[in-house]
Amino acid sequence: VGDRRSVLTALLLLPASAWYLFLLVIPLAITVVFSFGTRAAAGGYQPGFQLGNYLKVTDRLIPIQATFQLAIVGTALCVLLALPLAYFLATRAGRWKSLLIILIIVPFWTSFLIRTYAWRTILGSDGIAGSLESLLGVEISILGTTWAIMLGLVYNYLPLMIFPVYISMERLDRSLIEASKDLFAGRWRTFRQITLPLAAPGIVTGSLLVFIPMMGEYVVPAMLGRGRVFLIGNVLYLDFLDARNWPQGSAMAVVLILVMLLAVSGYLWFTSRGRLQREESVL
Amino acid sequence: VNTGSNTELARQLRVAASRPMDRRGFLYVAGALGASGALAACGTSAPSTPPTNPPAPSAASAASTEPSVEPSAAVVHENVEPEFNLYNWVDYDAPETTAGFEQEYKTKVILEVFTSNEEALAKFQAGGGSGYDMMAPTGYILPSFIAGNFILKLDKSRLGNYGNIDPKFLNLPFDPSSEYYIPKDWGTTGFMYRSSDVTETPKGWKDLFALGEKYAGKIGILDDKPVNIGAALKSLGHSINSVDPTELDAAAEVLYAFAPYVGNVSNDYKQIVRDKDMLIHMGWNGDAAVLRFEEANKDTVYVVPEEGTEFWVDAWVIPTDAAHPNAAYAWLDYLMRPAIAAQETAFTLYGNAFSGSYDLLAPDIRNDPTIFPPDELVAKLEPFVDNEASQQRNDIWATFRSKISA
Repeated sequence: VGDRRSVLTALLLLPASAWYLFLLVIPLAITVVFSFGTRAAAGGYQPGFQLGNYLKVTDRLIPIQATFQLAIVGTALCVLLALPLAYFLATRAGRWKSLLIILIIVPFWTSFLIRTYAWRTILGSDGIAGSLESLLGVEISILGTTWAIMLGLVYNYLPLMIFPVYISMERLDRSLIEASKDLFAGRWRTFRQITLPLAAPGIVTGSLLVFIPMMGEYVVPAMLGRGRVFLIGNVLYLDFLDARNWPQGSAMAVVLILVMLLAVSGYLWFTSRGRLQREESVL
Repeated sequence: VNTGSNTELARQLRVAASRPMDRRGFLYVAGALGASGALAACGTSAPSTPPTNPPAPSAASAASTEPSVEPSAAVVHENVEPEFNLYNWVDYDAPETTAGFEQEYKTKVILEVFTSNEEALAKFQAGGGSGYDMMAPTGYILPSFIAGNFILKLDKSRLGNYGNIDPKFLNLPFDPSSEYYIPKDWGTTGFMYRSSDVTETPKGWKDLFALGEKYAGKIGILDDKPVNIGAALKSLGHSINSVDPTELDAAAEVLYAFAPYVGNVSNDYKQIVRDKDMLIHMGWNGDAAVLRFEEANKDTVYVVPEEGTEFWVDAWVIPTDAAHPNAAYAWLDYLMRPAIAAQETAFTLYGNAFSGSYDLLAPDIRNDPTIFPPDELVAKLEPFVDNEASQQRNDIWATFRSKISA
């Protein structure tokens, strides 16, 4: 029986293991190996061992910094927008809840590209921004600025924040809030000390879901930034496709992965430490 | 790209093509290309052709209505496969051309597009190049395709119309004995501006950079490293292909000073120029001609920079793994027929390499100095060479791009 069970377990794990092996572990290993190589004469990869590719990453600090800024601010904006909306959905929406959730999802039945392109029209001289501009006589076009990219990022990724936060708030035990109010805590204090900490797992999940793709975003900056904003995605494109220097691009990608790992684990450590401390203080 | 207006344009051009015309000696222009050095091998032999009589109406209408195409005499294309996979730039063949080919050879053209030569090459280098029967990257990248063994040596005995190629477009530096390619279109990289809003008359790259401050945020550039670095180098009187560190440093300073004024970075800029979101934009002569032929945008002026600029030739090549070689050879032979070549130029508004087709072109195309620039300018044109290994050029481009939004 034990044998059969272990065979079954192996079979069940096989698809996921194969997936991770072939689509994550092996490509990642190839990237790491490539990052130490040299550029072949006609471009591409030539085996070798050198650290030069990593030393050159420091020449691209400006786009790295710009990308981090964009992703951090974008994630923060998503949290700020998602919190009240998720709170409303979880506690006040009543019978409208299902409808509202569907309304959040519906735009995402359209392709990412089309939605982003639509923003270009809205923000362009033929769209709302252009009409407002000619009406007021003031230059208000944000197309081609970091703000336009921010708008596109937040618009596209907001649902990935709303749903985890909503789920954690949905599960929230109402009696804790009542208890807080019985103990004469005000609304703000109740929110800060009860609702927010209990919603924290949702915020953490949502932040990861939003922050990581924002770091690698290429389409939104290209479409709404008019190519003016130069980010990590552009650097990778430059290294791999323009310069056809795969080792240089691989080194950049490895550095990006390492920095992201550090940032994300630091964030997780920080948030979980806060929760543990609170739990201890409650005990 | 607005296909609707392209169809309308093609219609207008066909109407124009049926009017009497006086011939512009293209040979004489192409002959001057020899002076550029790129075409030195075939430099001197271009006679200035005297104007010929207007072609017979039947010849003119050959390009103007349904292509009544003359099948190639020498080669019969048999066993053309029912499928033909074309990998090409967007809007780069007239719909009539593909439709006519499909009809004549009972095949189906399946088009997939690429947006940069590097993208196409990367696809082949990553092993994704099988599945295509034909493509037309720009000449400068061919050595990398050849080095990777990604394209076939052409069997010219299968191309009955090979003799129609103007020799000046053969044996170009990227394939010195023309083993691999058939020239498709050629043109220049310069810039265009809306003359109803831009009161100055810029003539060259230097003028373009000087206008930065006045038209801040209204000037667009191509998303193309060699073009921008080449423009800066040319504005200082150097070759677009320079890898000299001091010259590149000086060019970098020109670009960095210009960066704050750049309003758009894109190779798909026609709509932006139509909307006047940008009043000045770097670009290619064919795109500018498309805009100029539109009533609302006829104030679009294209400038072939006086200091000189890039002269490019796109090259038809057959991938090594082409599954439908018979269709590929039939396609090449078909495109080399003068009527089809004229039809293609009327659609793309780029010059082609088949001098026999020029008689069939409408005068406003043949006499257009942006499509066929005057010889003293052509003498200053240079083809790009592949300088992608230059770390300094990559760094300049990355720094320049970072400075645009900073």
